[in-house]
Amino acid sequence: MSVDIFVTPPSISWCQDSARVIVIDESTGQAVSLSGLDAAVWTWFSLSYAYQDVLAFVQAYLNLPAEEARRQLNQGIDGWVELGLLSPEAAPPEEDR
Amino acid sequence: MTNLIVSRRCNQQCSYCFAGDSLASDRQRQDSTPDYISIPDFEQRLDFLDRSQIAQARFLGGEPTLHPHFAELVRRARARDKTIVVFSNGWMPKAAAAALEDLPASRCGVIVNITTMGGSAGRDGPAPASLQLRKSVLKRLGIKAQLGCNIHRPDQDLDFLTGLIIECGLKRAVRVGIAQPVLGGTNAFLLTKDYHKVGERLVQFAVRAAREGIKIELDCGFVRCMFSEEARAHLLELGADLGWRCNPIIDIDVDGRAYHCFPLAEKYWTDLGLEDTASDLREAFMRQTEPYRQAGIFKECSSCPYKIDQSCSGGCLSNTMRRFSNQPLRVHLDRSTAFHHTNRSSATSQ
Repeated sequence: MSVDIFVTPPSISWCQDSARVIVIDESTGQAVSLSGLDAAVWTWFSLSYAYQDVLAFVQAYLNLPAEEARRQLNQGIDGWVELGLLSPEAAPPEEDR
Repeated sequence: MTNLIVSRRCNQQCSYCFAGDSLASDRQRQDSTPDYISIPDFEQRLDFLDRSQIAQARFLGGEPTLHPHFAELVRRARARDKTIVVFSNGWMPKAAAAALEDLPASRCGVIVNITTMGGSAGRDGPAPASLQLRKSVLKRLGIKAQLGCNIHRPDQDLDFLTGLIIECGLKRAVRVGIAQPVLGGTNAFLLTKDYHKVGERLVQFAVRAAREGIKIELDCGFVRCMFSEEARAHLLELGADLGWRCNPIIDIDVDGRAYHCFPLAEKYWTDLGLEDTASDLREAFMRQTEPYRQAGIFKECSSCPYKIDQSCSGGCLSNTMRRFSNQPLRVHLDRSTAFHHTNRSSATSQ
């Protein structure tokens, strides 16, 4: 099983608006406005839904076959990583493993 | 516009005070910030105003008139031909009142913030002697004094202000503010869910005040949607000064720290440089806060046409920033099923 864990850096904060999610990176002064599916996915993850649940929501939201929904979801997450909104979670210290 | 904090001490403890958290936290840290600005530092502030081509010297606190050399500060500002503006709670020493009383009305204005006649110390009912002291100060200031009020409760009564204006012969205008939350602070403030109710009550007050020839002026942090189209038109007919703004005010503390404004003092501040101008500071604060300005105090603000065309700021930035979360968001990206599926497909095709 190949699972990548990403987390928002400490410089990231966001707010849920009626038609979008506004994500701010204080370290760069960058603001990203997420709308549509992106806003919905961000919200689901912020509510601590698991990947498989979010995948099911995306599939239903877009009425797509599972594999296409997965492709779109992963593409979106990779896009957030590229924008710096998410970064790979640091491995825990040796004694915590 | 820049406000000079000349006193960090106050003789009131208003629950909604924007400055209280900042001043109290410094006291708790037991830092060495003095209570009052020194004369040489005040001269530096006047240099800053000159550099910035600002014609007003705006005295802020705490209660600025508690400065032991308040009259001297006023004299020095007047020597630079500054118009004096003082933000006071009205409980001022006689010497301070005398210094302001002597100035011509064209060069002096005192915004007297009054939430109740008794003041915050008078929760059990104001002492008659205290009331008389406050009124006597207001009467001495006369037309130079304008009453202000910070709304921190939806049912707050404003009607006593009109009687006070008439009785004391004050400027026939009321500066109305909304108590805003200090970012990371503990002050009382008006909840956004109560904004519409306050808007309705404010229109009713404006109508009653207008019968006495008194206008209302809105301070920063109001939002356009607090009022219906009809209410806005009515307020304008009554001569109200309406605005939906939130900009860096620049409050400069006794120790030389320049704040975006008191509510955001903990997050956005810089040490005042000897060559800085107000424009420099304002631009720097605007750059720093710009990302947050996409949002507003309501979740509808970022889609509102008035916010988008910048005719409404979307309310106080400190209030907006409280809507942002920085709880870590964790995403488990599972790529494995796609990989297995591909393998299965490959196996099937073989």
